[in-house]
Parts: sequence; structure tokens; C-alpha cells
Amino acid sequence: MSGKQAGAVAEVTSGSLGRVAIIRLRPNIDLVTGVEEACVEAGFTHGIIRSAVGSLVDAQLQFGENTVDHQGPGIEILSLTGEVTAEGAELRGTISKPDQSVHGGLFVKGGNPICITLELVLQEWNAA
Amino acid sequence: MRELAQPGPKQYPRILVQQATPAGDLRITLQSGQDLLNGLRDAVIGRGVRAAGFTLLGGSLAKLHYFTGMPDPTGQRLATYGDPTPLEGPVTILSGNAILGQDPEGEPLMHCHAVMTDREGRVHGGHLPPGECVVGAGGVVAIATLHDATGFVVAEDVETNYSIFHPAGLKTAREAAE
Repeated sequence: MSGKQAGAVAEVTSGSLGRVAIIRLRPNIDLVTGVEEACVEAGFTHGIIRSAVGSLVDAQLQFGENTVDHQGPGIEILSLTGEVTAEGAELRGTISKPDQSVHGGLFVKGGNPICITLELVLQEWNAA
Repeated sequence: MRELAQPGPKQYPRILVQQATPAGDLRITLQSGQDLLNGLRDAVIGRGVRAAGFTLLGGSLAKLHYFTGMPDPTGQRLATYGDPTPLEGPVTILSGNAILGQDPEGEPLMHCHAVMTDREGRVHGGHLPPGECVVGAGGVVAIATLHDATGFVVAEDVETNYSIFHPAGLKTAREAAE
């Protein structure tokens, strides 16, 4: 496997993790919009998802050129990773459905209403 | 975006945010035979810390039960859990998150969702209960973000008709004993 690509250089930022916010999103709040608003309310300019457990009414996931809708309720968020920057929240993860199938992708903003709850531990990233 | 009516009245604010006191981070390696959720809980409580968010970095389970959600047939809630699905190992954990908070009496309580593959390569995922998920050969590694003063504490939520985690002040061990 040859990984060498002329001109491609990683962007590396020094920094440290800072304050911790404990967050709950109530039902029918959009996942991405809600995480963005919670980050602002916590006073973080840059937040990292450290842990998140919750469920969705419906899910809208994007991968490649495709967007797929999954209908609930009863959709569990199995994993959620990503960060919130000045450009907004970019959240990826996996879900399970009542038929026990598992799906994954990028959570589309405006397409993922919370069902019962989202419990979120968000930590501030302080660039040096 | 579809908005489904909950069994109870809307509660405000819609987004709950509280600052916690960061209490450092732990890298935890659970050993074969330990219970996944109880092992993570005890690793944090043993350091005298009451609350944490966990990322499962990987590992294996010898056996487990998991739950997936479904619409509540009784109509008392919007969604509920179905029957547990047992899985025999070796099961590989792909990713997962867990939260350590407190019940209303101040006792430690874990909430964990994870995604994994069985030995045939099929992908599974759901809610993992304490006492039912046994760590397999090779162990399980997790990173815990510890926090104190504020954390997740169970409170009744009349909107969803569930007693679930809300950001709140954590009880001390002495308060829990009273």
C-alpha cells in the first residue's frame, strides 16, 4: 500500500481539552441543531463529543452522494462522534432500528429529531 | 422533520446545559471475565469520582444481552425496549458510549449503547444492561472523561413518562447514605 501523495500534508493543531458540559436534548429537538445550540450555550467555541447516549424519532443519514431516511420511533443512537466548530456540528455515527438492523453515516442537519432523550458530555477544545 | 406527540406536556428549557468540574481522564482496561458496565463504573468510583462519560475504544465480549428500541405498543410512551437479544462471543466491540451518573438516591448508574460484530461478522447494536455483558479474551479498553460537582442524575420526566438522566448537582456519598 503506497500512501505517499505529493502535496498532501496533515493540518496539525496543538491544544488541550478544557471545560466539560453536561447536556440533555429533549424530544423533537433536531440532533445536529441541538448539539450546536448546546455548544453555544456552554460557551465553547469548539466542542468535542466525549460521550452521547440517546434515541431518535426518525433518522436521516448521508453517505457518499446518498441520503437515506429511516423511520422510527425506537431508533437508538449506538455511537456518536464528531465536533462542533464555528462552521457547525459534524456528527457521524451508527443507529439501530426496531428490526435490529444497524446503519451508519453522517447525521443530516434537520433530519434527526430526538425521541426520548440525548445525553451528551461535551468537552471544550482550546487550540494553543 | 416529523414531530411526534409525547405522552406528557412539553418541559422547558428544551435544551439543558450545565457546566461540570473536569476531573481528569482515565484509560481503563477491563479484564476477561469482568462485567462491562459494572467494571467501568467501579474503575471510576474507585478513584473517588462520581461521574464520567466513556468512549469504548474496542475489545471483545464473551457473551451479552442487548436491547433495541421499538414503538411502545401500550401507548404509555413513544418508544420502549423489545425483548433482550442474547449474543454468544466472541463479539467484537466496534464503538460505543457510556455515561456514569446517579439514581435519585445518589447511587451510581450506568447508561450504555454500543455497536459490535458477532463471530459471523453480522453487525449488532443497542442498549447494553449492567450485569449481562461479560468481557472476553483480550479485554476491553475505554477512555473516561471524569467530571464532578455536576453530572447526570435520574429524575422523572413527565413529558416522556420515563425516569431518565438530567444534568444536575451530584450527591456526595454521605448524602447518598442518608
